[in-house]
Amino acid sequence: MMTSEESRKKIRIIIYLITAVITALAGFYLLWLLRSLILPFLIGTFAAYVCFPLIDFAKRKGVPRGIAIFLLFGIFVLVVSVAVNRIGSILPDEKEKLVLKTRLQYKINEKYREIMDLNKPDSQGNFLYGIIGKDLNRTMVKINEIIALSDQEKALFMKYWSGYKGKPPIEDRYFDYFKKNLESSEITIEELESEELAEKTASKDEPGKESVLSIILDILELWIVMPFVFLFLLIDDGEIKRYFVSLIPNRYFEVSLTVIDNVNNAIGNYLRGTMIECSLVGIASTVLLALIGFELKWAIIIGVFSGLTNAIPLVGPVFGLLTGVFYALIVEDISSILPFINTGNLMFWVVICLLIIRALDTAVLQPVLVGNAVNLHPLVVILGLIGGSMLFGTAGLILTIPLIVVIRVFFSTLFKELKDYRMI
Amino acid sequence: MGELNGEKTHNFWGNIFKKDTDPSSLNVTDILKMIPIFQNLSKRDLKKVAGIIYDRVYQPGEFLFEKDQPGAAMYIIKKGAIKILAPGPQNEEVVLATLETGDFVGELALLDDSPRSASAMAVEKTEALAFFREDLNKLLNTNPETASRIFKELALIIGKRLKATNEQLFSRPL
Repeated sequence: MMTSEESRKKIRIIIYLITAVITALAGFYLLWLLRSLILPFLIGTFAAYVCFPLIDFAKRKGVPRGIAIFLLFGIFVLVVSVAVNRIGSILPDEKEKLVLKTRLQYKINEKYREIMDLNKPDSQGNFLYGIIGKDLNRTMVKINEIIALSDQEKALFMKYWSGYKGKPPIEDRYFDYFKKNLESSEITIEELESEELAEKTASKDEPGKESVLSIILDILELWIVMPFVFLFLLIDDGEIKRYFVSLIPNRYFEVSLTVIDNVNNAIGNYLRGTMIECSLVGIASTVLLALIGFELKWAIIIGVFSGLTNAIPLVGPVFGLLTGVFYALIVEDISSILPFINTGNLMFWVVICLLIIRALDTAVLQPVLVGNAVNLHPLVVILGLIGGSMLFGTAGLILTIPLIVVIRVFFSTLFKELKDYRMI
Repeated sequence: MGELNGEKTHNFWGNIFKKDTDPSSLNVTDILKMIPIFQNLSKRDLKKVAGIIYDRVYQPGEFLFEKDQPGAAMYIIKKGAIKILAPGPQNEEVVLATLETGDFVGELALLDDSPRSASAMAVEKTEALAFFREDLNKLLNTNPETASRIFKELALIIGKRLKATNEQLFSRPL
């Protein structure tokens, strides 16, 4: 026979469980609804973590906390707005994107013909082509399908070629590439010049001013969260932690304080280490690429990209390498201070440079700055990347791994401390 | 009230300006000032320390900490009483001391996380102030002077205890 105290205990546990499940489900649903805010929130949080030691440093030097926060916030806003402006002006515009795609398609096909020895009019290709030529041809068709301009882009290219939106016309040599690329396409120059397609392009290309404004407002609405998160986390002088600790039962008071502190330190060290590591990789890539003859603008773009993607273990450096190789493939003329580097062997030197940086990163930067926090299983990395990119696109690709590391550090520290306190 | 009797007047003003010595009715800064570790701190420093202290309430029979667990915080009893317990030769619980309002316990946890040598249990409803080791370490980073004053007092207390232990040890017949 169950006593009334036992049955009350049982009911209490059931009520607690039901409440916990409902709260968790509601929490997940809310998180899903607000998923577009997660990214700015995470970036604001990560930036605040990076800045915490700076606040401590300022306090140690006698600078009042309020002034230190005010200065840091000012620097943060300045850095973000300058970066957004700079990146916006440096990134290729519509016309440049069309030219880049055209160049990439042309150069890939040219390189393929060159490697397979197919450039002579009656050539049967080399030995390799004789063996796997058919399969390679099929792959090249697929690649061409992926990177080729769409019909509307082709019509737009034609417009830019003859001067459009007040921009100088596209150079003739790129128009030759364009014509060469068209040989494998079903559409002709004449069709592209027809009024219908051009009009379609124009109507699609020039959206109303209202829609542009609404897009900007939408973005602002989302990203306005970021500086606020950054600011409030800096302003918080342990109040959030104290509030949560006050809810914890006495039995778990010391262990929770220790866990919070260890997790905080580990996350802070990892994020700061990763930020410094990625910045150094980015700077080193920019310098080396500029040294081997990349145009400065492109050295910066690829360097910044390599630095950002370096936060992703395993595949991040590959992204950086591929971007560098693609640019080396389409580059027309280079001005390297090293006399032995030319357009023909540039790709080789890009690979060498990025491999040197990779070796330095693996041997020196990562062990010193980040430690072994990133030792994730490759499967976790790949699944995390796919999931992150599905949910948040490119930014998710970069931020998912740091987030997984943070979660891993939290649980490993929690379990270690619970064992030390003999609670599990 | 029209009563200007000397004693009554004294009591009246005395009640207003009397220094309250009952720690349970003092604020955190005043309680901290009574603790040897913090007695050399200025009012400003005490306020900084008060800002990083946790208020906890323990019911009778509840443990502040248990023997062999890693130490993480020092406790100051704001109100109530606690017993310090350790296992005796037959594994029975021995009460080593009873601490009351204004006393402190577990100060060695401010140095490292070595296991607690005894348990601390509330004997009545007890309000305690917890001072976490990592907060002291952070204070060392942000306010080195304040933190080093605390560490100095802690070293003096430990030194005095060591002397007392040595005296006890050497005064025993061999």
